[in-house]
Amino acid sequence: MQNNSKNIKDKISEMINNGDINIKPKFYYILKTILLIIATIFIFIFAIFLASFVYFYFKISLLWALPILGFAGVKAMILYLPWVLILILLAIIVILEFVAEQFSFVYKKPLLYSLFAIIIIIFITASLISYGKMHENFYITANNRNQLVKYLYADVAEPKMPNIHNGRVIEIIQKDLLMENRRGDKILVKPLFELKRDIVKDDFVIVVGKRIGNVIEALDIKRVNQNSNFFDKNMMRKNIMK
Amino acid sequence: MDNAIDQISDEQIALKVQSGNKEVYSQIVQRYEKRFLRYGRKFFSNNDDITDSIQNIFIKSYININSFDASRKFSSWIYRIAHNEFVNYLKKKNKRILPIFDLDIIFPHLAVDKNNNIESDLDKKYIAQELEKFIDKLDIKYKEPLVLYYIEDFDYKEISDIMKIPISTVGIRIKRAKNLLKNNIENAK
Repeated sequence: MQNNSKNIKDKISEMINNGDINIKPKFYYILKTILLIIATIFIFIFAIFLASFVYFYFKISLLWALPILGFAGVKAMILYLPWVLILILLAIIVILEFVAEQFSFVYKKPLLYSLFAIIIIIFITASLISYGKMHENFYITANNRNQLVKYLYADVAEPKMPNIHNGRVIEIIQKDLLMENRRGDKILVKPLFELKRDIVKDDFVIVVGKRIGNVIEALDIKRVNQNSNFFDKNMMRKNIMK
Repeated sequence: MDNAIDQISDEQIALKVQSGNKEVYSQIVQRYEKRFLRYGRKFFSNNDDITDSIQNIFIKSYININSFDASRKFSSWIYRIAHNEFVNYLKKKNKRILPIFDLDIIFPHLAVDKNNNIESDLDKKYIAQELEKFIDKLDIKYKEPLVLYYIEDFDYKEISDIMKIPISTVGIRIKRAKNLLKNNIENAK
């Protein structure tokens, strides 16, 4: 063991004296810490943006209101959830947890605590952001923005539910409804059942049925208690590029 | 000169190396080599593996000496490097390594053992002696915190820094390891 000891000690001293191994400068560690902090902040901001976008998607597609259609509505809600966005968000949360584990105040506590804290911070901040107008402004002006914003707000955020439609009632014509959707299309809704009298002009409705041209033969129509301005004239997509 | 160096702490030696006095680093090698040999034997049985790993530990700690914060304990810092080195060496050798995700890391309170009265039966010295005899029968997950606590004399907080696991997980693993050790002792009687 004495030989071993001498060997290692001598070998290390020799390496140091020959310049085979050199001490990394302090600046390297300062830079590394700064980059780690910046990366953590950026990942956090991205996660918050994505979470608020998912929240916006929920509102704009009226996914949250689909259960009023009964079991079929719940099924449709699960089917049309933005799964890709949700999976990306989950992956980012896992990455964030890994990055955060580099800090001693994080790894000293059980993983569940830090994971829970990260999720809470992301979702509280995202819901606060959703009260603002950022996503709405991007949505309205998506066609005039750069390709990424256009893709996100004109394609991804645009609900793709072929047999479920929504809009604002602008006129009641005998048994039928004239509805205006967010794109500004005026659609005639022809119920295949006796229309309830509780639907009046300016109500927001979800309509189930196949759309052919600007006519929907409705299998179901439900009034939505909409307290946001998503169907407001201002929320109509400004298709200036069209 | 040598006597003066013997008197100063590891942290002061590290500060001297950081400020350019490279020669004193050999003192670090001298102070920690035996400890790492003892620590390494808990991971490997092959002496060459241990010697290679120890050499790498001292090379890495020298290269990264500027990342050491002198307000902290040097032994915890260098043992963190040793832990990584041994675990990576085990990975290379395709031996069983510590799991990344474990219930006792995710939420240690769920993993708390109810049968936890073993501390009163075995004192620290006795456990350290018995540990040497039965160490190979323990899983590495339990072996390492037990060795760091009873043989290398670190506290829970320091072991948490060395292994980068929650402090409560250190406590859980030591408690479980002691129960396993107790079972092994009883089976051997």
